[in-house]
Amino acid sequence: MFKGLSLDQAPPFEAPLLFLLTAPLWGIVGGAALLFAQSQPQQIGALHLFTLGFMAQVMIGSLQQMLPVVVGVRFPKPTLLSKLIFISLTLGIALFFIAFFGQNFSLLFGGAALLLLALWGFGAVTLWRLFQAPKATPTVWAMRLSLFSLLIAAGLGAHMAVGFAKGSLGNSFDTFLLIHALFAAFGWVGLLIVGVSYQVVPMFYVTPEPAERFRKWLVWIVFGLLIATAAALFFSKKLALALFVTLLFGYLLYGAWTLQLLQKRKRKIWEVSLYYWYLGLVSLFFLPLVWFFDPKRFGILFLFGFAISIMIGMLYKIIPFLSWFHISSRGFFDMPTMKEMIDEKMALVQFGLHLTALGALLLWPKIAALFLVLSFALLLWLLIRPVRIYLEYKKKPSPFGI
Amino acid sequence: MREIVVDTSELEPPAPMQMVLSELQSVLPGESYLHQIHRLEPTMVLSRLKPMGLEAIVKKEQDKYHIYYFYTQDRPKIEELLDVQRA
Repeated sequence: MFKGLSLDQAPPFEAPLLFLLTAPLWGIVGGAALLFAQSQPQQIGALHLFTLGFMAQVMIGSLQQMLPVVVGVRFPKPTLLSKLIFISLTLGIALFFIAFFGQNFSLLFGGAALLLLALWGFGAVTLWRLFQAPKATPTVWAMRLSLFSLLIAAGLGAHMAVGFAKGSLGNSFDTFLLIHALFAAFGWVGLLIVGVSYQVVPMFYVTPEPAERFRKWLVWIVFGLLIATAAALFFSKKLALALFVTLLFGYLLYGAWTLQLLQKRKRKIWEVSLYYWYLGLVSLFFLPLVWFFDPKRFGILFLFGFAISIMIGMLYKIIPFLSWFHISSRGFFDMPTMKEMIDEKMALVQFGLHLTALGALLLWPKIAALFLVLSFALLLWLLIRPVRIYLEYKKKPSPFGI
Repeated sequence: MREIVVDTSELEPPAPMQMVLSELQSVLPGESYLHQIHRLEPTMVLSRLKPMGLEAIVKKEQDKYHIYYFYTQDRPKIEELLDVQRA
């Protein structure tokens, strides 16, 4: 007789958790760093605590979880791989931050090497497995193109970091910086959010599945525009600008289309993760306008309005779901429900703090630092509860004897 | 073969998986199979069936997925049954 689901194919919960729970910690450090960041190098250091510390950690953790279950392929030695990537990524982020914050750029030799090892190592292994996927769905293609973008962004990032360490930035530094930001934000981050949303929006919010043709073409159009914009930067800035604005409209179209899906959801109940999705998607609508008026605020809106919002919203769903899944797979049925695992009222307070931090970042960055620290600290506290529940059940003997 | 039908197409996670896991306990080799109607391919369940001696066939009709869960030894019977049903 059937006795529960096999966990053979599932990565151990601890592997993605390592990344998913460390991410808010980096957010707290990032908020604190922003409070003291005076010079441009210090701001670069603080910025990367959010992009590498929070965002990359969430994305790497999520990919480790999704690859076996959504794509149907496994990482070789998942726990060992996870630990190796985690150690080199964590040390790399720390060195990178200290180098920029303390303006001791020679540390960037080590920082860049460790980050490149972590990001290229993870990117290459994941791409290799993704090309062995039994089916090349639009989500699989979005993941592949997102990881190609990661390889480009990380390679250029390491090249520029070494330039800083040597004290010679080179003639193409400004162009490389733009291409690095372009592929990191709109390739690595954007395409992964797009691809993952194809799965998680219908799954968690009971919406119709998006049309396959649109899903596939959107991913290719975005990646094509990324390549074209990067290439145009070398010979015509005007053409690059036109292509980039077209890319922004591609994301705007994605935002409108996903909002329309969410409007069609069967259960009209509002919850904190939905507020985050709406905030993230609505932010996309303002990107083209803000780009023309203030490129710095454009970056803030993309990172904190769109990307980080959607990632936080997903953390509120993914961690309780995985906790529930790993407990139930061992044969328990008396654990709290997913909804009971997260304190919804406190999560709404956390959303309020995030929203205030975003508003302040756009208007008065020094105040924003405080709200960012509080927002990420509360997020971490809320996410620890489902993990604690999982750990409590892990200690109990399984009714199935597993 | 007795068909056990479960429609999870309008349920939020983890209810679809809970219902499938619960109903799979009633499936018996050579006697019955489970037919799930869902809005997505339930990849999380599908990727874990094999070690438990179970298999599944997925068919998409318009915007709904029909997933048939059965014991490995029942595959020929299920394939025959699904062809008959489609005809």
